[in-house]
Amino acid sequence: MTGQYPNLSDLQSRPLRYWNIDGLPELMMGLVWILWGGSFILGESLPKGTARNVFWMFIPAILCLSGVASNWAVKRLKERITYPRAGFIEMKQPGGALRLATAAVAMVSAAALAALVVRARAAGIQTMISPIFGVLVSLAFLVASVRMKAPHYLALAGLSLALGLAFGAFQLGWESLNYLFLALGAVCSLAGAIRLALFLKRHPAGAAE
Amino acid sequence: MNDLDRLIHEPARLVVVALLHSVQQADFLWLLRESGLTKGNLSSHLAKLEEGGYIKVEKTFRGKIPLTLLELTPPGRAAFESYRKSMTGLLSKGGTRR
Repeated sequence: MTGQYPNLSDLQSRPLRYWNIDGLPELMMGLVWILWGGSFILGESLPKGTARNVFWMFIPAILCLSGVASNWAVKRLKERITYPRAGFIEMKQPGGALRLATAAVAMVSAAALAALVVRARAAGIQTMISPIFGVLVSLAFLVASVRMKAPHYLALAGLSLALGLAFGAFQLGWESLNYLFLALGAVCSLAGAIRLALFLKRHPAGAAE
Repeated sequence: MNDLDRLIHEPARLVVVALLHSVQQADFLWLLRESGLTKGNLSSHLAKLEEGGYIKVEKTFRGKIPLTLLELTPPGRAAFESYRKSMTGLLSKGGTRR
């Protein structure tokens, strides 16, 4: 500490950056995407019949539960790995207005996605689905990189865009999205695993109070 | 300048309060890492802030390891917000004078 006046904005953004210190969020997000891509590919490969219909009935539940489960797993893993090594924080609970805004954005996004899927067959959008998804994921990583001051998210943004465009070039239609999920999942998991290994190296066990 | 809260105005304590303002609750270890203070220095600043009623200190255990949880009290939050407002006002006044 020096006598200099502290940068309050920088201090206030520390918790958000701390959430990404260990690579666990990327690792879990990557695993969820691999699960999604894998489930879609498995569903497509099943022969037409009862088994296939039953499998597709479970897909929405798999999608929803995997999101909730990954969030839960990140929290539990942080309790075991991150907090004993680098300290514990409990994030501030978002206010009512923010919760409402987030719910509104989620509903609009879901409606837009549903509209896109319904109109896709007529408009031939399925050939563009991978590049569109690649651009959206890339933008999300870009925003996260700026907000969390995390340069590695910039690299993930670039890779997402490149993968989206590459899978779009194969002209596989909806199937390209499945492979894109697998590839994005592999890239994110790898990035998360590397960051976790670095975190464990920098913060050996026993660095408690 | 006299209106500024002297308990918060000290740079090290300002860092501690700003960090605690950005979270619901944090432990000593996180605050130690993020503030860059020494253990003794941080402890003495925390004691002053607790004495002033700005933070709540809870001593507990995680398994067998002692854990010190720190939280800004409502008066502490209000004091930091008022301090930040005053500083922004002072800085903008300084900017217009130039």
